[in-house]
Amino acid sequence: MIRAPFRGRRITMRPFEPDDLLALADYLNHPALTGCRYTYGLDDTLPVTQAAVERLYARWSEQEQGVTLAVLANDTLALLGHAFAHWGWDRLAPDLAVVISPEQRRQGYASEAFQLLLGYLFGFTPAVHAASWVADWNTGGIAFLTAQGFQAAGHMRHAGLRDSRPYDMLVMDILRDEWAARQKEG
Amino acid sequence: MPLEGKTLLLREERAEDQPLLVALRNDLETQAWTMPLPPDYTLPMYMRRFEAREFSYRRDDARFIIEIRKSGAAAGYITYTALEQRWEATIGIMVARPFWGSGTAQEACEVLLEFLFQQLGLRVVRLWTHSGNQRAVTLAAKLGFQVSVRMRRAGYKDGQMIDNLMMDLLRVEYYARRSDLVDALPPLG
Repeated sequence: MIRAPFRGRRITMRPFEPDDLLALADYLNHPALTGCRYTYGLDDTLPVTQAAVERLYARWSEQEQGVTLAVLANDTLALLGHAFAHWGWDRLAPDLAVVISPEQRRQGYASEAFQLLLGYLFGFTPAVHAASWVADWNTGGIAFLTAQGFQAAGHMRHAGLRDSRPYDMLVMDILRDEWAARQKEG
Repeated sequence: MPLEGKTLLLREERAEDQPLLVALRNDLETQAWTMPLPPDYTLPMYMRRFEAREFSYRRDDARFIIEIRKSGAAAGYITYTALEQRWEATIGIMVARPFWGSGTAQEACEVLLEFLFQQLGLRVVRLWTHSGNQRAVTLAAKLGFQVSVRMRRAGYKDGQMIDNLMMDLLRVEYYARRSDLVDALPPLG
């Protein structure tokens, strides 16, 4: 049964199941997601094999310091993407990200998934701070996080190489009270 | 063969170092991490951890004991973790109180940085600290690190909310400070 924090108006988030893996591999291999798949442990720039996706599934299934969930459309039950929160060392300050298949973008799914995840972190865990990491070339991702109320915390310099040039990873964050104020504003 | 500095060595960890490591871990100030651990670690715990280390040619971390040349005393330890080959690593250091203010931490970091840039060919070295640890921030700045990320009120320690800080040092910045070294790796970008 899906717990209430993970069911929204148009989407539901639940753990991945073996039946999701073909669709997962399909969207992970979409060229538009190269470098921003958020699949920690898999090289973000190489094609993803089905075997690698199965290993990823096994890892996600056994996560202890975070959660990675499938994002599904409530109407069609189609897999739209994945969302993760990772609190690792300290439950005060988790990281989170949402990845929506490029075929399903611009329909508000990412915003809804992100708000459900933040609602879970601030509503059901001791988190007081949440951060998301986005490459400086990912202008769409930066605009998305800004729209969610996140602000820049800095640049992790030389996070990787893209098109022969080093790029930075922008860290953006939001505090519990900032999130709560946005909730009141509606 | 240890990594050699002027007044200290960075050498491999040994069984006889474990009491020092327990003492450092059980001191809330030398722990220095953003989320303190309970000061109840024991020597048997540390011995098991030490003996569990396994051989591999594909290490992504290392731990060195800081040994003072003149006295042979172990002053603490220094590590790197999260090694991405030929790209980056994250360093950490813990020094016993009697060696605070003696330049030991700075020299140990300099020796390790030279290994990371000159031998491993890294492009960037990072470290994590927090706004409540001014000694660490000052030391890192002396070494050429700059605060690249400040996560506001993301930690809690000593009854205070603290900012978590990521600091980093690029290869080009390291070699600019080391006029005695020449960077033979082609630049990026």
